[in-house]
Amino acid sequence: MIEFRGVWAGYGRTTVLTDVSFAVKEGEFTVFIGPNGSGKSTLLKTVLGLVPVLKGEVRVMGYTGHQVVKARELIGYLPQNSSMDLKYPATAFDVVLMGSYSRLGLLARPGRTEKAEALRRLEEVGLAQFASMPFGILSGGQRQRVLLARALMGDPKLLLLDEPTTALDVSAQSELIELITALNRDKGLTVVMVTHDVNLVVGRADKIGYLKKSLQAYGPPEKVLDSQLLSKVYETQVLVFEHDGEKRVVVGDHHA
Amino acid sequence: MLDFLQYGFLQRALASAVVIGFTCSVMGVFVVIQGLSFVGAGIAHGAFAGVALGLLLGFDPLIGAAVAAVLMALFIGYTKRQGKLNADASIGISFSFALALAVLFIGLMPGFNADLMSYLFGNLLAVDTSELWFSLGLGGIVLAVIALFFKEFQFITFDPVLAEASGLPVHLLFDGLLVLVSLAIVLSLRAAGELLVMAFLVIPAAIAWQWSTSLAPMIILSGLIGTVSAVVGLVISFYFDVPTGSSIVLLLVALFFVSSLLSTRSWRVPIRRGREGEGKSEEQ
Ligand SMILES: Nc1ncnc2c1ncn2[C@@H]1O[C@H](COP(=O)(O)OP(=O)(O)O)[C@@H](O)[C@H]1O
Ligand SMILES: [Mg+2]
Repeated sequence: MIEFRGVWAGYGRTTVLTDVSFAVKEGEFTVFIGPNGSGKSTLLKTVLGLVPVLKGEVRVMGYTGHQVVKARELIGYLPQNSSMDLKYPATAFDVVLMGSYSRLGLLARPGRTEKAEALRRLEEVGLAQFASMPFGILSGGQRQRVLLARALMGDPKLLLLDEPTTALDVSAQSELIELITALNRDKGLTVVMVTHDVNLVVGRADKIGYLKKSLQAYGPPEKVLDSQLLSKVYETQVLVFEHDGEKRVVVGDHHA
Repeated sequence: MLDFLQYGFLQRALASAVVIGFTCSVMGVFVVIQGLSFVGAGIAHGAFAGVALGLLLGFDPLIGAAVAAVLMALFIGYTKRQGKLNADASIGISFSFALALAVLFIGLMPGFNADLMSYLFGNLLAVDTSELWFSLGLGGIVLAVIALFFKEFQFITFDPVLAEASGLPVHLLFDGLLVLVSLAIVLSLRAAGELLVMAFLVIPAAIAWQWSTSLAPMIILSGLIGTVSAVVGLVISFYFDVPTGSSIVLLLVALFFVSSLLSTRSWRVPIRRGREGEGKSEEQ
């Protein structure tokens, strides 16, 4: 579904991704973690064809080079801390409907089909009764679910989620992850997600990648979740231990 | 009350008030939700400078206004995008620049120019047929573009990040929106004057915002508020013999206060301020 082979990518004179290689298969749940500014968002934007590839090859659903943008129609994207104005006059329904805009093309308007789909997507994320509520007065978790519903418009095969749980409280975080996992497991959606908190996705992710301009580690969680490996990547002490049969990761001062 | 309509100049004034009130109030929605009230003022000052230059050099002041307003819009769009300067500051600079030019051109003109003053304060009652057609034509174009590209304008104003990721030419559309604002100003300048135009660009949309949870209804409501207050203000000014511009603006301001008082009790008014994610991890 996605294949990066020795990819270098960046903006203008700044190279961000350096020699990144990985492959995401259909139906996989892949998670990228890494410090701020390590190129996680850039990686997702490269998949969307928004960042120029300087070297190497990016293949997304069979498209390469300049053709990569053609895969966009099959991708649902949730950008990082979306900077919308919460006072903007838009209902939850309006926001979800916007997910149909890029496929409609210039001048076309969303019709009955798109509106029916928007309601269905809201139902899918458990917010059907909030359709006519102003987006701005929903809770942070509800807003992220609305944005997820928007990303689901048009039946994408691949979901790109950029730190969807950041800024949410713990219960809203696990609710959202639960929803994403269900989309992956039950609907077979391929998911590539960027997050800060690896613990949220332990036991759910098929592959985990540590990005710091280059991919420092990449593989299934049981291989990658390793105290020694992570301590090197994060340049601080990282402890991986098992709790209730699930791996947990503690970064930094874990004596507290 | 219908005796009012037996005069040709009043019919034209009424038609102009409707066109101007509606078009400016519709564009005002984008001005207000984008926090660009000051931009409207900057463009209006630019247009006024263009009028002064036209009168000074002897070409059609409305052409001067149109060119200056569009240039002003593009300049503001450009500096806003550069990001090196706070948008607020860049608008402030262009605002002063336009005003300085206007004052300069006025200073270069011999004596007092009554024509120039009419562009500042407008005169709905002096609108002639060709000016009315000009407003009607340009207003029709502005509204048609808004209707055609409604979905794109909604997308770029609500979520420019995703709009860009979807392949929309966000900068071009944003500049287009500013150009439409400047055209709305230009079509109103002769009849309404700069001061009334600024009121139409901000107040009806601000009132509509207090009652709207969706963009399309907000646009329609704002347009209606602008139209109705223009007509009512004109009628009041005719019967009470007060300046038209003042009666319309005062009516709008009164409406705004009444609406604010009523709407604070409405659950629909979003209370949260500011932007999501502010102060959190940086993007890009
Ligand atoms: N549009 C851009 N133009 C120039 N540099 C950028 C742009 N976006 C991001 N960068 C730079 O690329 C690097 C990686 O950014 P990003 O991919 O957003 O990191 P992350 O998402 O991991 O925090 C940062 O150093 C950032 O400053
Ligand atoms: Mg990021």
